[in-house]
Amino acid sequence: MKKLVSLAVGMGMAVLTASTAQAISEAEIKNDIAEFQGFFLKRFPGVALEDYVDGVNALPQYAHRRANWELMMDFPPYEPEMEKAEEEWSAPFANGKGFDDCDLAPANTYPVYDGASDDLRTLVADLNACLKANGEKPIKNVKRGKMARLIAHYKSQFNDEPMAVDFSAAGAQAWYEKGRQFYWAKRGQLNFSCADCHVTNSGNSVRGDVLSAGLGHGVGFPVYRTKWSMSGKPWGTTHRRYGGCNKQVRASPFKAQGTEYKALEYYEAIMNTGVPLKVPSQRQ
Amino acid sequence: MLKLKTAVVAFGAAIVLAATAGYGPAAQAGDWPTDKQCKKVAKDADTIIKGWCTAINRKAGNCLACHQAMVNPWPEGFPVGGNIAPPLVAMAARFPNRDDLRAQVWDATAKNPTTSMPPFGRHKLISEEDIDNIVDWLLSI
Repeated sequence: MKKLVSLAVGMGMAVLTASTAQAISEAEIKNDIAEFQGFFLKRFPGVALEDYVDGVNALPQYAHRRANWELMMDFPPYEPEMEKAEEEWSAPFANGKGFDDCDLAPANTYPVYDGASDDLRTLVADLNACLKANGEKPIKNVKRGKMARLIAHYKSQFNDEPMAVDFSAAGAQAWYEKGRQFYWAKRGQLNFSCADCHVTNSGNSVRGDVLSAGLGHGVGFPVYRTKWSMSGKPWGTTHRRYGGCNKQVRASPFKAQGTEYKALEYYEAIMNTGVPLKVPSQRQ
Repeated sequence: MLKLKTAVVAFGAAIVLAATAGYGPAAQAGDWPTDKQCKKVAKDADTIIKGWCTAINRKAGNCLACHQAMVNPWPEGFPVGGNIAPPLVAMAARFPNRDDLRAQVWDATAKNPTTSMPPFGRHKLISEEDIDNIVDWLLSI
């Protein structure tokens, strides 16, 4: 824990010298992964690395509500939606091709760093690029609805594959640094960092709610969320969730698929190295 | 057996006495209002009740999101606080100097930069008067 705190303080100092700072090395990132995962494995003894796919449901502090979730999983509310997702995925483009012809990376390796453009390829961006390349209209809403269903369909075919995002390129390490900075920096009127709630206080209660562990964040996404289903829009991508989180700490949300959230998704994906995919997931 | 019973009764009486005597103006036994009741009573209440009302309001202090608080008796059916931060008990003993407590609520990051506690004064989450009221309430519990 002390180490994590000093990391947070270190991050603060890193901001001051960001312009001159060297990118983080591959070895350093590997260290970060071991430290991040080690923190949770020690904090929640008995919860194995692969158990973190179930989000807050995996934590012993949530045990009294887990039965409720398990019952829901007998007939998951997203099942009819997944049939719809399959139809949408299989619908051919006007040129006769389809999503199966898109040049996609394995779902457990996203976001993928592209050296040529010095950019991160998210699955969302790849699908839209594929639509465009085939003369189709890209999907405008990248936070929910059809886009979420399509990526749920694609990612679900890689379920149980452990997360394995590549960060060997120097450019990728710079993106990682951006994401790590975002994760550990305090923001918003309430002055919370992602880590304040999901590392330091993971498993603790905010009134009646239990804070989920940062480890495992994203491997179940897109999720079908009870809270979102109240307004008839149950699906959400990680970037939709990030926006909600930022609003909750009273910060202005960033643009979905923008630089900030792509970097954050990259950082979280790398922290999840070895945690299997489980898509879609139901969350409260 | 009889002795035990009297002891229990006496003990109970002592608690009631302590409750009415110990909590000053706010201790109109059983009168800690809930969120809803606060909307009606807070306006004309003393600073201790006003402080409590600000503390429990989710759109104001929302202290109970992270802290448990000991008020006696706890409003019936009212959700207890979270366990992120230390429980708010024996505040007068822990903060003999009122200014220290006020400074902690105003900006807890001054003493601990990595604290999860929002800087209520520095980020203008609640008014200066609200903070004074919360400090009055805290020192009464």
